[in-house]
Amino acid sequence: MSYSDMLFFLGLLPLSILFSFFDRSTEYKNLILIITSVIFFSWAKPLAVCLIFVTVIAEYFIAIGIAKNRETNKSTAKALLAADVVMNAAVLFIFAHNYLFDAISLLSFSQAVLPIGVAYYTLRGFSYCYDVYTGRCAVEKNIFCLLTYMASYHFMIAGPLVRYGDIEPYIRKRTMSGREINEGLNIFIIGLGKAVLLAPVFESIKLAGLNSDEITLFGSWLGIIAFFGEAYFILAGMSDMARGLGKMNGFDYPKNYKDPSSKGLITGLLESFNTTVVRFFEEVFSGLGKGKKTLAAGSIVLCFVCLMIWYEARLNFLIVGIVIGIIVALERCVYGKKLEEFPGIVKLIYVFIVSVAVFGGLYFSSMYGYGKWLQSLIGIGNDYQLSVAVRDAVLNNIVLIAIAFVSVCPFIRKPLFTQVDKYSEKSARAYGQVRICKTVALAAILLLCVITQAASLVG
Amino acid sequence: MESNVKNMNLSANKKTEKKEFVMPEECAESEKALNEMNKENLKAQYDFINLVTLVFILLCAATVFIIFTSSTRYGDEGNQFTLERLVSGEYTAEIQSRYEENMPFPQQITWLEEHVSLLYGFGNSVSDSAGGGGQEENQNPNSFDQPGQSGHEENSVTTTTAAEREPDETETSRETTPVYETTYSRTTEETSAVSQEEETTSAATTTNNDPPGATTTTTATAPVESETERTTTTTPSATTTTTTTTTATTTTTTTTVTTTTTAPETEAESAADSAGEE
Repeated sequence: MSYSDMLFFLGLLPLSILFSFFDRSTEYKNLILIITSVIFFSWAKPLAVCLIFVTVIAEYFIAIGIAKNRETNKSTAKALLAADVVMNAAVLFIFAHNYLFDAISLLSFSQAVLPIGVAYYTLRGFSYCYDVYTGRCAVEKNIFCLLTYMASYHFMIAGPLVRYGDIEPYIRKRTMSGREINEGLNIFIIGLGKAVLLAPVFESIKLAGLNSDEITLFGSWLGIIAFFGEAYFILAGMSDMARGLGKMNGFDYPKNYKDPSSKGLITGLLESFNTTVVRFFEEVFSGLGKGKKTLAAGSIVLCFVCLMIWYEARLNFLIVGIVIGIIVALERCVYGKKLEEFPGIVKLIYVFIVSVAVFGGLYFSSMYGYGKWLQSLIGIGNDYQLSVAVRDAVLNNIVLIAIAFVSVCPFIRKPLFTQVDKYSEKSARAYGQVRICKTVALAAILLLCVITQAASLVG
Repeated sequence: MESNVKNMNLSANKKTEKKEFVMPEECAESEKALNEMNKENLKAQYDFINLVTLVFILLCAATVFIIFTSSTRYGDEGNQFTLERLVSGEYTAEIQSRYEENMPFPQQITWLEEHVSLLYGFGNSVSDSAGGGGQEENQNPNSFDQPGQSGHEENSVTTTTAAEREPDETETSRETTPVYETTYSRTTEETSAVSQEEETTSAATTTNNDPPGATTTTTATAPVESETERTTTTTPSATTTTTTTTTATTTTTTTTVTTTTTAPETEAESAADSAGEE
């Protein structure tokens, strides 16, 4: 089950919210949340339930062990943390990256008993033990609270990575009101629109540009930009939906996707995408590189390699991780400060070219394809400039592309929203008009998403 | 008692009352607070309208898709609840598949989706709302893939000499995938020594990096002085015949391309080709 499944947002979600209102106590709300999460997580994949319970129990005892030995016996605490890393890595590679074990029949799942969101689940488990080890949060004695944190379906699919110390007050005491449900529902619908309406547009352009039998100049450029757009809108959409679901249930999560910007160069761009996860990886690996400059640079490279492997355990992800790590290390240690002094347009060109050239490698599974694509970007080996398929894919969805562009470009969106806010402050009537327009827009997005999802099932 | 009442100075009381309860002028702060309260109230009202509208749509959609179904089965009919089925995931999978496969009003939903997609941009048609033709990920070969790579594996072509070719070999291959036929006629003029070369490779497997699924015949005829003649037949079932007569130097080259299309989807492709070439 996924957030954009109709069975979820038209069935399980309303029921879960409704049942949560039957009792005011937070314990009851936690119970409803756990039951909903277990249904969500184990839908048609019942092994996931066992996985949740087994790993939560393991995390619970490991964290207690770490807390006991953290001050007195550091080596034992470290060993326990290492054991937690091994356990979570095993779960991640067996369940999330099972394709690695195609040759080993014992570990290979032919019928894909693959619980969704295992990558985030394992990272959350490790972050809890790591925070206990560093003293960022106290060890949790109540396994029920830990289960609520670990099993919550809100941030299961695409983050954000919420640390236990930040969420613990909400697990102990939280309230749900109409206002929160309204805000949460708005965020959820916007996320749904991103994932259901905008992401497929970019997918169609990507397929037309990069998966066709003809290599064209515009196809290569637009295809790869569409590949980034698709990844951004799917993940940001899922993350928005997660934030909305959290809000409806009385939680408040940080924003996980910021507007792409060239301000912080490549490092800044990386931190704007899946912010919470990138920051956690950087925090973990920064401890390794304390002291010497070369050690710090090495730890940055290692950090991004691990981050990329966490996303996908494939060779191209590994190579991109190494390259990105080297670039970030160079920016931090060598030329970053000098480049920051250049005009904005220079930084924009630098970030655009480097990110397209490097992250483009994530799409191609072989160096042959990647090399051919790089050549086609500069006009070598192209059949012609623009294929009919790419042109049609762009023109057929031009309105949605414009909306997507506005939604990620702060220099267009912010002035627009400022004008709308100014207008709404003029009078009560103007405010009402703006609010009604917003409601109509959200209702339209919701209806379009329902129609699109239903049509995809019918078709 | 009455006299006491009469003796009371009522007008004096009125004066003191007036002095005590003089309404103060509205200060700026209280007005600001009042405005804030009004704004909050207004916001709450519109929040409520927003919430009711969205919940109404959600509930309507949920009701429509749960109550109205094109399934002829009811309840747990055909999907018995047992612990074994629940643990294996069959029970929930059956619920999901029944829900998804038995959408109510399938034709109306498709019609609606197609008409809604007309608003997304230009050139959308009702029959092909997805647009772009980009949904053929697994149908078309990917030009960026390595030759022979799985997933988008391109068809290998076996090259044989004309002498070795069986007479009915080409006919069989033509029958399998006669998608379109392209004839290239290239004339090269130059006076030089003529060397005739006939490929003797039998059953050599080469990988075609260009789109397969087509029968291509390339014929090059040259004038008397210099001749370059090439005949190639390429099919997914892999039969290619090549006869080459080459002359050393070249001065003038004339190329004529004739494409004959026999399948509707190929028309689009050749149109794309010609448009791109333009």
